[in-house]
Amino acid sequence: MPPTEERTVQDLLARVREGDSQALDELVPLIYDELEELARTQRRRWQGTISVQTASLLNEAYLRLAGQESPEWSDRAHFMAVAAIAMRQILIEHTRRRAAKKRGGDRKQVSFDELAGVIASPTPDLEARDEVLILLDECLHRLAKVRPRHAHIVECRFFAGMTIAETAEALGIAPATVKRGWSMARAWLYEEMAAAARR
Amino acid sequence: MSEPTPGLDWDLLEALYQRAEGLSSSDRSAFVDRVRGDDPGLADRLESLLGSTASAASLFDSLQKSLFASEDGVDDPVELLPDVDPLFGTMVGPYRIDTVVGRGGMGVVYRALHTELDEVRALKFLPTYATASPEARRRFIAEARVTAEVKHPNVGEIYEVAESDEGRLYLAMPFYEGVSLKTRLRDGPLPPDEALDWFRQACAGLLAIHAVGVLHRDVTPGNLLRTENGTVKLLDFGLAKLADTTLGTGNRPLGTVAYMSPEQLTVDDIDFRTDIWSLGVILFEMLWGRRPFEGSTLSEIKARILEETAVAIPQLPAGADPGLTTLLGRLLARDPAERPDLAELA
Repeated sequence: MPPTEERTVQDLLARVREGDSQALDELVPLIYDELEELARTQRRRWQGTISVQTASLLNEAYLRLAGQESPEWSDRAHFMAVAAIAMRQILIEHTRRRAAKKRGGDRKQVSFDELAGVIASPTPDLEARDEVLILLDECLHRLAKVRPRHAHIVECRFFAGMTIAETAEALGIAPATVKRGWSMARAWLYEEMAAAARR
Repeated sequence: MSEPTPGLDWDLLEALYQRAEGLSSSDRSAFVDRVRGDDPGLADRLESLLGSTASAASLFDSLQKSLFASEDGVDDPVELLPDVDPLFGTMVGPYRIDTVVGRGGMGVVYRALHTELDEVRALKFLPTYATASPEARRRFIAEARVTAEVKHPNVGEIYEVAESDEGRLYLAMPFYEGVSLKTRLRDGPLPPDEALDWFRQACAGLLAIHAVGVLHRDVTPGNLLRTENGTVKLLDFGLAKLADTTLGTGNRPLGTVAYMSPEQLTVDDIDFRTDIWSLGVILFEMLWGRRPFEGSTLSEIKARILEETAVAIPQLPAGADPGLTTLLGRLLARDPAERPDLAELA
């Protein structure tokens, strides 16, 4: 991208930060190709049991980004990372809906330990994997209510695959805080997931 | 435990958890027992969280691998960002390349493991465009070797400068954990004492590299990092020269131009005093949360730096040393000869 266009992207992101909702509409066409490529990659890399069209993934992600209340996208890379998180959440929700539909009674009764064991195998059973994913999603919502910052750390680290340093940069907190929060949040989620599986 | 424990004190629990995590297993049980004396409920929760830590880490690990496997079988989370880098997971010299930890105009920084020393380091790969000419490479290597000789607490250490098999130049540095001034400034101005602390340490670091005849040329908040023990490190010196000679200043990123001295924007013949100007811009930004020369476009910022005859210094924040107004005026003097000596500031 030529420098002038890169600058426009920066300016538009600054305007979005200041609450100018139109700026996002101007921004998307500029980086559309990149976003589409991101959606395609996300879709392809999603080792899932569901399939979503690239175009509808992109659309849903856009709606989600546009609906964010006070976006703090510091730069282009950060914006793309946030878009990646949104796309993954969409894929998870589709998975969740599909699993909910299937659940009409014939759900296998397996313990959380068994589920966790299945996932650790090199070629995990995808149904079991989706089961754990849904538990995680549920418990993450709960975490977001009690400790929003910890939930953000999990989103960045787990869903967007960001490093400790990138997460710290994105959330504007110290790397040590991320490291600590990540460990504690995982342990907390693990216990919540185990408890939720027993219900 | 099906609902989050009502009234659970997360901050306390997290502080205890963090402390316990660092202990050996026997010390850990003693620690939990001590907590139990004060608050049995909290101790139970702490104990069970500690017990889940390892299983939780491995569950998240395998879940992530199974969900987000990459096409080539390498799990590089950062590759999800569109700017895919093919180095992930490869060996470069003694290093195994891990994830990207930073990107900038002057290259990509990776976390890397020195496999012989079993030590995590940061590797900065210079962009190929900047080192395409043999002349530029030679000069860069020579300068990096000189800089590597500098051992100063406020200067980011360079272990070595080397070349990958593909002919890419890279610098090996310690992997500093810390917060950049750029991140710190997102929350607005700094308390005057903290601003002065960053400033003094940055001066000391800059003085040390000037002493061996190297200019920084790109002193910006993004190149200042405060490690967890409070030491400020000056990073990325000398790199900007490559961009200048190969690209011209026209392609420099917006944020960086804002810290450039008038002479750096106009003439080729600059000396160490251009770095002192940049420190002035940074000190200004730390005190008031904005830069002295702002504009919505690159050329507007340039024009303001070049045309404003004297910088207007706003009213100092409460508690700031009154001498700062004069100091800022001198740091941001248009005539480099009027700028102060680093030795008197550090």
